[in-house]
Amino acid sequence: MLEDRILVWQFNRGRPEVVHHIYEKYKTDLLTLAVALLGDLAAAEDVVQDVFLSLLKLSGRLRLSGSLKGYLTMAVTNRARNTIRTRRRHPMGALEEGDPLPAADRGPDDAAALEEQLDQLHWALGELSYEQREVLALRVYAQMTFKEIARQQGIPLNTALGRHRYAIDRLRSLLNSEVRR
Amino acid sequence: MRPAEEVYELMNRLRVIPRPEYDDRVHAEMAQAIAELKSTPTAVPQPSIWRTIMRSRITRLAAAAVIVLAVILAVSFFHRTSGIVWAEVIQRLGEIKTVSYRIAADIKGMQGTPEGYTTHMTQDVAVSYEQGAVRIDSALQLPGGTRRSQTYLLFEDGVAITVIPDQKKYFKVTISDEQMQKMGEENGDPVTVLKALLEHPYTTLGHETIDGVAAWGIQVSDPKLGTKMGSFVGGGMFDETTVQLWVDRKHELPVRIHATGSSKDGRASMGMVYDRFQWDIQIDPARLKPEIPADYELVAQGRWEAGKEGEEIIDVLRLFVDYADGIYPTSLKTVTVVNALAPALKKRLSTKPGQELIARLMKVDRVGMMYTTLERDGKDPAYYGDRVSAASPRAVLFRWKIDDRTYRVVFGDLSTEDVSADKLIQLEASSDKKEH
Repeated sequence: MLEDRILVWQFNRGRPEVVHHIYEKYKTDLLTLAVALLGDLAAAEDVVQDVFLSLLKLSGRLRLSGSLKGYLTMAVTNRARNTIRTRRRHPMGALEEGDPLPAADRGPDDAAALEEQLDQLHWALGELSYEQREVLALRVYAQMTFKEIARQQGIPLNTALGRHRYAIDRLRSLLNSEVRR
Repeated sequence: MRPAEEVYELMNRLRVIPRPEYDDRVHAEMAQAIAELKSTPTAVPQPSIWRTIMRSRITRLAAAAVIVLAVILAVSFFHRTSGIVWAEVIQRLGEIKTVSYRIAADIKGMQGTPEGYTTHMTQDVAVSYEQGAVRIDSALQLPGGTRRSQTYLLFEDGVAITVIPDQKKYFKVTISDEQMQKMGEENGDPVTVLKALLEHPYTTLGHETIDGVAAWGIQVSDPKLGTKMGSFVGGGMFDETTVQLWVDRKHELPVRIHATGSSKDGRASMGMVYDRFQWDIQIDPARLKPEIPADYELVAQGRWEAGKEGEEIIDVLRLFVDYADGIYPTSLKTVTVVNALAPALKKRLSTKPGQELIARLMKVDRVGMMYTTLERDGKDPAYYGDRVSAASPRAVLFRWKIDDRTYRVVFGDLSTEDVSADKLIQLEASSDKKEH
């Protein structure tokens, strides 16, 4: 994206302040991805904040092989993975009290229904293995191709496809069973 | 069972919008990190600074125009009319690791040449941003024959070395870290230079085939361009400068730069073409390191420091007291200064100049550059050599601002005094009366 190139150009030439602009541009996408990966708003917020503070340390020497958004997405994914590793096994479960998951595009009429659906989704995502969740989140929230996901995770393409297929099947199953309950 | 698309759709509706208090916290943390970053520059590795500095220095020495390109292109980015994605050109230039190119120039009115003589000059330039070095092989066609030299700019060592093989001689100029950093900040900051350039209109030159390549061109021309841009063409040598830039439409990299300059009196002029660009080629590291044989003589050493431009100019003016009867050059353009000094030196010097004098003379080459630095730094310089000589010891010859409230005034006898702005007005008014 043209604007991103300019931002990186400025960032590398003594204008680290552009990081504020970059944050504003991508904060929602990145926080959504982090929440999907971690299932914990507070942890997701920490991850996104850390990503931007780490980005600042690269001021003057940020070299991208791909897009800025791709770079930030990977940074969030890697940090989320580290968080998960630290926690060992951390099922997502419900969000803690006081940690609302604000949803965009929420009309007044269907707000309650959508909120319930999102709660279900959130619960269902937490039931997936982290590897499956990551493939699905990168596919949906980062619009990455399976080839890119496989390369990023260091796995064969078929493994990425398999994890995605299993994740979708499991989610559909979980969500349908939840609706039936 | 829900279709997969429905799962996707549901997931896409999960949008976590950051809470305002979280936004505030992140912005505050980032602002603090930026402040720390700026207050402790040495704590932050900044290899890119080298690239910036290299460009700045190269341009200052009129040996390259990469930063100029970046700047002109940055301007163009804001006026996208060409079909060229200028920002991509900037990006490409930022990624370049090596470049070589040729400069061919015809310079009229060069020092040591007969009146009206046009000197032809070629320079083959090789730049390695990774190695932090530049080599310039120059050939000057003068009435007495061709003079060849090699100049090496070694950024990690902070030196510029010029070797003249035919004479077995070399010169060395040390450039202070502060000066290096300053040049990097000045010319490397696209916003600062951009503001200067945006004040100048540019025209599009349209499409043309340059060396068999389909290219798109723009032209920046303004009498004050040289001053505002610092020294990118001629280092303050000329009163008028025009730069044409042609960019390969396919690869979006520069293919040709055509710069012209002229002095007001018409005695000096220049036409300069940068072409034969080769980007990201292999350059043997040994080519960029000077091998000076033991029997070569170090003719002179100089030093280039930041913030001493005013004092350096006084040193140059002192040459006119010593060798030209106190008749100062009419302007501080390099060409004017050189043309005023050269005949006087020729007349007065019966023996070969010593190292000390050569070191002083080396400053003459930078005098225009030093004056433009004062202008660009907002130090409000003024020079009155066209009407003040050593015969008017108390007339204001030259002045510049040394802080917000104080000017340093240099009088006709080269004595100095630090005065307020009000006092300066009185002194300059009084000088005018004396001269009229």
